[in-house]
Amino acid sequence: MLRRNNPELDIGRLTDAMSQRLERTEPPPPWPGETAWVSEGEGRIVALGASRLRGSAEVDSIHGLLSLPDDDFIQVAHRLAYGRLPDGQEHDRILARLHGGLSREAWLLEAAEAGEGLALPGARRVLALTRLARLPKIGRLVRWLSAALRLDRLRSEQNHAQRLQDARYHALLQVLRDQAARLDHLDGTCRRLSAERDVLEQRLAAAERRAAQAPSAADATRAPAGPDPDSAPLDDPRGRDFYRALEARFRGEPGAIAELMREHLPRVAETPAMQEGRALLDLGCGRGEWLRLVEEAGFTARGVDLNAANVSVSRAEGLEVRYQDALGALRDQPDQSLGMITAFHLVEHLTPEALHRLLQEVHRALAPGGRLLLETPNPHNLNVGSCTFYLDPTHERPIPPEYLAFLAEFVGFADTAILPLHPVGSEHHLQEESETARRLNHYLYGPQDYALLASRPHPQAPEETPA
Amino acid sequence: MSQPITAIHQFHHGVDVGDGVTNSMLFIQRLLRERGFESEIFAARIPEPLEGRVRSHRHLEGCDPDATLLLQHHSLGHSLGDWLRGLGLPRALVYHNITPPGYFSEGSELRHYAELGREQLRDWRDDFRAVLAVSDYNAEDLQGEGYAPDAIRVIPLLVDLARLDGPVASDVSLAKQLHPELGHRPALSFVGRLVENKRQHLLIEMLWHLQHMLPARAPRPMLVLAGGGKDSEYARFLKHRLHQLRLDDSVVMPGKVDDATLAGLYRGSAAFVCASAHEGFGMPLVEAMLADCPVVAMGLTNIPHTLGEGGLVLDSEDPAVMAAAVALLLEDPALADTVRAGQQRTLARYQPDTLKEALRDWLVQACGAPPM
Repeated sequence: MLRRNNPELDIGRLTDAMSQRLERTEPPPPWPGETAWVSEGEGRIVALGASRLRGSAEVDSIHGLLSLPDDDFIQVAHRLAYGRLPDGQEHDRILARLHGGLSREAWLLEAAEAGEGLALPGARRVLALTRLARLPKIGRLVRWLSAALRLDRLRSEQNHAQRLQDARYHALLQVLRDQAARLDHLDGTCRRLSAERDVLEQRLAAAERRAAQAPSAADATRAPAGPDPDSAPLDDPRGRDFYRALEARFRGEPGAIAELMREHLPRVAETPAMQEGRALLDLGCGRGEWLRLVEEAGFTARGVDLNAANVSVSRAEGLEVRYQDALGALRDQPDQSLGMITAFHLVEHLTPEALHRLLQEVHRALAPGGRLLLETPNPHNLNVGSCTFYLDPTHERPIPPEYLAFLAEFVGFADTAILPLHPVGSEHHLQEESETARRLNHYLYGPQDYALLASRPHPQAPEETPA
Repeated sequence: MSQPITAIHQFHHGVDVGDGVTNSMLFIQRLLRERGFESEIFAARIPEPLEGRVRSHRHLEGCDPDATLLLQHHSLGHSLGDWLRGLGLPRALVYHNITPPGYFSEGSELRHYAELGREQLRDWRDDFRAVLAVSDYNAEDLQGEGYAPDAIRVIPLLVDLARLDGPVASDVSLAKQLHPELGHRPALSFVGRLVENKRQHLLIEMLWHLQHMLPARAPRPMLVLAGGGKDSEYARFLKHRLHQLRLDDSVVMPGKVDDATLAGLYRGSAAFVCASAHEGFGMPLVEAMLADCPVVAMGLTNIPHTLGEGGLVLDSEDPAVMAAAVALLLEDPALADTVRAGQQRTLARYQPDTLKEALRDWLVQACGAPPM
């Protein structure tokens, strides 16, 4: 067992000790086969080379023989009965008969009679019973009796099979889990790539438009270049791309938007709850321009958006953005937890009921001293209220600033303020010093957006009021 | 030869971190540079961590045939045979053994390259100025392919024993790095790719026997199978088998581990167990001996040569027998000490100075390098 490679080893003693241990060992559970293993469903073979230790399975009783898998049963039984292994044809013939309904016992009897008998403990009894079972009349009774006697053993075999089945099931389950995880990973990669592709396509389209417009301005005789509104598909079936394209045309480049938003930064910095280190939540955060500004100013900012491409792009840039609707995101926030909640051009997409609910949730989620900032188109500007507001077909209705302020106060906000934003450039104004011109300039070229700023007040502390 | 050799370069088709052939190339390179030779390692497949230390094989084309000797390491077939020949550089073969193709599944890529490797070995018989085999077993292998016995020099694989001796090595906690239960259960380890000819499946069965042999109150030993190839068909078979034997909580397959973990594994293991059917040299055996980890191995191919007086070498390939030997080792500290003492005697053969001396001799006498 051991080689004498080391003169200091007492090989004799060691070998004795090892033999002693080996006597006490039980054989391991049956192998599914050492020389070949068929992998899960794929049918490929693992060559275990020279590792085959045992020949065909060994059995020590007739019951062991009868419980072998078909192939092993045929090999072992054939060797016992005929003194040699079956060749391929014999093996297949026997297998076909067994599958055709012949019982193993009946075939064993046949083989024992034709060959050298069957020298296995218990074989004589089983063969005798089988012989009896072949008899015309009492055979039926014998078969019935022996079946009844075998019930217990069958039950334990069934349990064993059940356990094996479970083990295989779990192994397969694990394979499935691994594959599902891999698929998830691939899905994620696909989403990210598709988002990146969208952005690139948009940039390309914008660049092409610019390139096409430049020469047509110089040479008016040339056929109009750029996308033809009649032939271009109006809407992508998925909607998302349509909205992104619309946004790209009418809302402006991310850089320009960020510039417009920058003026709100001092309002974040002045908010008491933000100074306490609480987070800002931006609803409908789009491409994350605002979140980036807030983060750069040293505050914590999170966002949610319903545009998967926007979410992927923002996440890829390291922003904490989730794919979720505004109300859902608010409901997930604990009471009085946030420092500030902002939403740019979101509320005009909501129905009046949803807007009301949104404000209630915002009020609940803000910490005392927290602030709400909502930016939306300003219907006081007649051009906005009557025309450009409807450039976005997903807008519900314009919200007059007075109404928004009222609603905020109604749900419990204090210190509401309306901040007019983004007036039309003065070069478009009527250049005239008259009341008419002043009013027209106000209604046509005044602020195109406004923001509502409101605070959640600190609760009144009754014990502090003097008695 | 009109001018003396000033550059001795080395080529192997692929290199990898922790790979035995690569380690031996780095060791030889150090010796050659110490002796004032220009010495680079060239390879066709270079993983990122080795970029900078190993150069692309294309640069060999610029070498001066009169002043250069190329040590061509060979362990698997590749497609650059004719290209190497066409370089016209004087070459010497360093043979690391090719796993017999029969150990790889039919139609697999590895099988193809193993077959090709043997074919190339036969074709190249007359190409080399000198031939070095890294073990006695490999020398026999070369003779089988028609190489003249007296032209082959045997020097045990030139390895860097210091690699596993870093200061961090002893601080690695197996429980933290590999499996929490290794904190209180003895570890048996094997290091090597999960591949059919390493026969990790026998080690799993050995563990099953061992757990049944040991008294019920003794902590149940665990088996750590470190090495790549976790996604192979064979690895799936291993998982299936260990699940069937209810050993899911006792076998750890961490994949390839870094040097620090490896050193910690050798040091922290109660025994290094090896059921491999084929080892051209068996570097992990030497690494285990160096870490003072008792070895139990089936004595096949070069394994007995590599172990020398070290380890318990089994004549049987029965996992139950191996389990019995491991059980003795676990329960008898005096036996483990005796085994370790034998291992220390064997290690003297692999000391860097001994190896360097032998290599220097071979380069000067057989390869025609100038005296160094």
